[in-house]
Amino acid sequence: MTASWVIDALPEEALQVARQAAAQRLLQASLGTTERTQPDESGLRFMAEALELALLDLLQGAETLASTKGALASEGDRLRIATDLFHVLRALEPSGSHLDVARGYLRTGCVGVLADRGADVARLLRGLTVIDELPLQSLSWGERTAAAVLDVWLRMLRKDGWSDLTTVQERVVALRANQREFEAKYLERQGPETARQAAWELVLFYHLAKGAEILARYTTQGESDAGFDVREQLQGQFDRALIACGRAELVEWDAITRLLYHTSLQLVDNSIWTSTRAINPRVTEFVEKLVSRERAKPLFDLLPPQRRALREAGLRGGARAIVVNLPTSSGKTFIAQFRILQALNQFEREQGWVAYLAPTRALVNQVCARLRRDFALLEIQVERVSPALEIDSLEAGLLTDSSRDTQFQVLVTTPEKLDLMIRGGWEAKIGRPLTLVVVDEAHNLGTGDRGIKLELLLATINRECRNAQFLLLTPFIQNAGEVAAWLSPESNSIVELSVDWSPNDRVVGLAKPRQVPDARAFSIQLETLHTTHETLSVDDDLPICVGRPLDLTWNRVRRSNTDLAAATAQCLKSRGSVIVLCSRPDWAFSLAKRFQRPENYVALGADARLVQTYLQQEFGEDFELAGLLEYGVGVHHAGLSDEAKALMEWLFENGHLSVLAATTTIAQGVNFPVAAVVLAQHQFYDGARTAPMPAADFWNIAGRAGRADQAAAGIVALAASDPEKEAQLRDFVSTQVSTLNSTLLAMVASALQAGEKLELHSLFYRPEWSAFLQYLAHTYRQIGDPDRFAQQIDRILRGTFGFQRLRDTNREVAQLLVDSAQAYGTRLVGKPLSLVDSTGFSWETVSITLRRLSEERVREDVWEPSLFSGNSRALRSMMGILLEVPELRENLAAATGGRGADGDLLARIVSDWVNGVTLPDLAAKYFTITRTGEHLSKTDALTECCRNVFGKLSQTASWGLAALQAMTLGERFDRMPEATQQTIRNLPSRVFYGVASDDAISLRLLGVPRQAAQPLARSLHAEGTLPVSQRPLLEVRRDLASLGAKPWKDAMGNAGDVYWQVWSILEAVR
Amino acid sequence: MLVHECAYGPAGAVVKWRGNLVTDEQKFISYLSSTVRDRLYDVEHRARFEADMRALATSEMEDRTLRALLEAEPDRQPWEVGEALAECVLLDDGALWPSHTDRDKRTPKASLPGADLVGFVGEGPEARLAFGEVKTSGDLATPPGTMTGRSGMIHQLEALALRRDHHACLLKWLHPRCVNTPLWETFQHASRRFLATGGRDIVLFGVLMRDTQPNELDLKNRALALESNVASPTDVKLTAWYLPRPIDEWVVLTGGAPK
Repeated sequence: MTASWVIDALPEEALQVARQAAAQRLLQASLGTTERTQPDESGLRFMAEALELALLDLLQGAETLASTKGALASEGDRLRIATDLFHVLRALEPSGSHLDVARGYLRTGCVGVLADRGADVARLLRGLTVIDELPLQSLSWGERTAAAVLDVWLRMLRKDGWSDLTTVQERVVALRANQREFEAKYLERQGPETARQAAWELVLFYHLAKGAEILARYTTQGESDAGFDVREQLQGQFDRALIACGRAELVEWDAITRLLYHTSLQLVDNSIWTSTRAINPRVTEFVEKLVSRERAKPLFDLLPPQRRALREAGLRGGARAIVVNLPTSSGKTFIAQFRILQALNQFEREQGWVAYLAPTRALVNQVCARLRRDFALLEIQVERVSPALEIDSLEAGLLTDSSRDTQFQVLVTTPEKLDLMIRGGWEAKIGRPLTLVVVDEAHNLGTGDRGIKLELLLATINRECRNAQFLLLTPFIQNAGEVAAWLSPESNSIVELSVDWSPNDRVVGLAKPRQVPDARAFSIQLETLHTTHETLSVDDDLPICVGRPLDLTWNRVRRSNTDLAAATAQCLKSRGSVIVLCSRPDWAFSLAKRFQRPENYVALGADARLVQTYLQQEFGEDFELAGLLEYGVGVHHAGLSDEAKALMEWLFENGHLSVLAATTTIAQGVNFPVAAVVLAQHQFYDGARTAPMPAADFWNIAGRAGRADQAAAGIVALAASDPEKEAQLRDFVSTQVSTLNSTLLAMVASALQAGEKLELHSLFYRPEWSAFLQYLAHTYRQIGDPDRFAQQIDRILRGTFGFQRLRDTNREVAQLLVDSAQAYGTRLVGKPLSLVDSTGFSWETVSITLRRLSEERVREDVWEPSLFSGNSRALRSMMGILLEVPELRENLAAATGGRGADGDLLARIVSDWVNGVTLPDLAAKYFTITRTGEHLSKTDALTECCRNVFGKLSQTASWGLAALQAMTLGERFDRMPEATQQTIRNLPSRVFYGVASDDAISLRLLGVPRQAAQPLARSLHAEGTLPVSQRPLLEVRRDLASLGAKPWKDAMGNAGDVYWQVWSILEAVR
Repeated sequence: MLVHECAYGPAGAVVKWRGNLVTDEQKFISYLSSTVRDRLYDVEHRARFEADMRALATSEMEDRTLRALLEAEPDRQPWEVGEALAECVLLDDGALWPSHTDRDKRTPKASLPGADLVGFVGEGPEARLAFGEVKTSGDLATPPGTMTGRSGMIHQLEALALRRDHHACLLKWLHPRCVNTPLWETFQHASRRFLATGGRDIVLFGVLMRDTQPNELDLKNRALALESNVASPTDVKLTAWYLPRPIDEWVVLTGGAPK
């Protein structure tokens, strides 16, 4: 039983047949299959009418209290019916005159909006010429008016920026202007049998036109006719329009007018103005900016989860901890922005600030650019601090800026950096309260040592920052409520999807090769899979293509998943951009090269040419990726610099690449839709091992597929070259969304399993336990007294998510952990624990390292810029010491390309890196020959080089050096002049950024690519009075944006122009 | 009730036909000038019309031309009387036509796609959707031209029987006209039958209004031809009415618009 008696009256089987037929048509259109099955057209049309009746019945019922059945109808039933109908109508293309076709699409569009698929409707209409074909200049006033009415309402659904909404208002004004000239003549020409009907039809059209005008005004201005009673105004026009339908029995217009009425109310509901009315002036101002004409893509409507978040889920009421548990493309960023504004407003008097945490450097940059862009007009300062685990002098200046005009209000960074700041007492140093922590990709809480660090950071903030509130953004976890309750048992809320809504249509299936009579050719079939995520599925396999794409043969695709994936992508790319996922960077490159074929050759446009030149500058003339661009294919993986990755994303998003061969790094980097995602492998590789991709990551990537062109559903195809692989992948896709578990559970279990006694001090060598020990040491330090620590440890542990879960599942073990923590506390008495907070090492590591520094005679006098001269004994010693530090050694050892713990080698790489040796030279020098003696190609060596330098060396070595500084700098340092102190403090940052001066560090902090930073710093200095590092960062950024290419050209000659343009793109200046 | 006698029939299976002969001129005239006249003319027109025009002003369009046109009392055509007559005799026979109330009776009925009449027959769970086609013809030939050809009644009924999406479209039209009225239950019963049978459990009426002598050939052969295209549970009922006054006089005989 549903809430709809109409649906209950329909034979279930007929409904299923219609659903399958509609899904099949949609999928065939999405796959671009030429041979389409012809469903029973009249059966589908009948079902469309029946579903529409059901929908109208529920809509009317919801409005009329008298209809108890309708009043009881759940929102869910209405959405389900509207969604079914939307699918059926999309499968039935309207036919007839231009007016008939337009009315058909208007109907489809209305139903789409009522199904909460407004974004799909807009895309559908953007892909059609139906609006352009309307007879707006017809000599028949009746036809002309009908055309105008269809035009304005289709535009209201399409809402292609301001132009559509402005046109709506212009069309209605034009109708009024032309009425006198055309109307009388038109009516005179009618015979006695049709004149009156034609007149009533005009009455209908005039009311409908006025309705569109009201809605267009409201959408753009948040009011209509100087009032906010837009629903009542619309109701007035539609009531009269429906009366006109009744007067002349205009059956063909009656139902569409009803649909349009409910649609118009839904559009009011969807409007950003409606959900944000009367919250606070800052939000209203923000909305005005989002809607404004100046924006390239004004935001008029909110998505269903956004509306829910704003209205119901505690965002208005300001729950202290909110978990937004939504898939990709559900508009999480907007929810975060809204929450940020609220938090800033709440603590305006205190000048509160917000921390936005993103897991990677690339995401930090991306989020920062977006927030900056959106908040710029509100004069909200958004800054980022580098993920480097130290605060250099420039960052210190930025953080402690106390001028109201320039101080940051939103700080974007990584969890590890915020952890360092919180433990280093930076909230007090900043002098303003932390009021909100936004955690992006919060499902990372459940993974590895980064997960436990994030958890403990949140626990620390929760304990120590009085005003802190939390907003966690995550895709697909089962226990969002539990996580929210952990952070604030008394004031929490979650934002989740209702099961009936998904951001777009999507199919997940296996791409399987099949032999065809031509011995070398093959076909690829898509077997759709049922999933937990409301994706489309049909019973029969659907053909993707047949032949020999990329000149591949049956023998190859049945043996190689990579070949099969490449062939699948080649077939799908005509439908829109395709991401092909590989498990390793080198495989991504080799896959990309399969597309290097004459049929894929494209003449590069200016943007792609720019990126090509940049890549050649950075990676060498013969860098393979530069050549690949000419075949519309790019790569994206950890073996590229951040800038190169960001440029790949940019080219891909702007349609200059049709295929992007990527590793899972793309999952958290692409926030725009693609037509298809093809998985060559379903595992990921972390440099040492491969493991199946976690379910959350898979669905995160799958969520990118969809809504690429008009009628299309997103395709997620998993290449399955043989039956064994097929079975594995079916299993993989059916994996349920997981519960987010604290890493602490696994840590305790694994320690106990290994027969260890949970003596915490002996576990320090494991990075995840080191994080836990640091948490204990930090709280011990805060409490400052062994007895009170012992008393409070139970409470402190309860502040973690993991302990709560542990207590729920095994109280005995939970108690054991409390006892162990107490015992550990007694070991901390009298220790200089501030070193734990400032180094990010456990006390045990600190103590061993102090001893090693003394043995190696590394003292405070080693901290000179000459440290990176290339033959510094001190640097060699320090690298040797750092290679013994458990928190660092794995990454550092790996950074040498797997050659193990070689301090001398590390010191040489670090020195070259700091002194500006180019990536190709670094690759040639250090990464051409593998540990096993194998010679790598230039491309593979560069990939290795980037993966190690960017992914491991720069971050880990700079962290290590900063830690060693904290342990060695003493009185002599305090006596130095301030400028010298700054230079010394910034030495670890040189390693982080790969540059050799403070000025260059400033520019790197502002996003300037490494090769440009040094020369540009010089050129900017020549023009100004002070060196760059001594000027406020904001001022330098403003200069960079306003001076154009000149300083870059002065610094680097012709290449300067390329770097300037790339910087403008990366920093969203252009 | 229009008193009549059976001229021929009832005959047929799925498609049934019959002829009704009205001989009493006075009773016919009285029927026209009372029952049919009420159906054809609207005494409340003025008040409703003023409200319509006041509302039109809120659309900021001019109402002068429309007002002039819609205010005028148009001359009725004989075929309009024929349609009203058909509605009335079927009403007498138990059919229900819900869209009667909000209609502007001065505006000729022309637009229902494929059906002149839309409503129900039967009561309670037996209620079924009913669609009707009406033709008025003084053609001396038998069958009259209005029965044949593409715009003829038989072709229209055939289309009605086959285009199930058209019925469903008419169902949507009926829905708001039944909701919150005494007809709601009837609507639901009829709709359930309709939906459960894929749109087949309906009744189609074909009404032929004549001023000639009864002749079974007006209907019989056409009915048999139609039979091959219609199957149970759809029922088709063809009725020819043979009326005692010439069609040309009907408009006058209704007595004209109420003053």
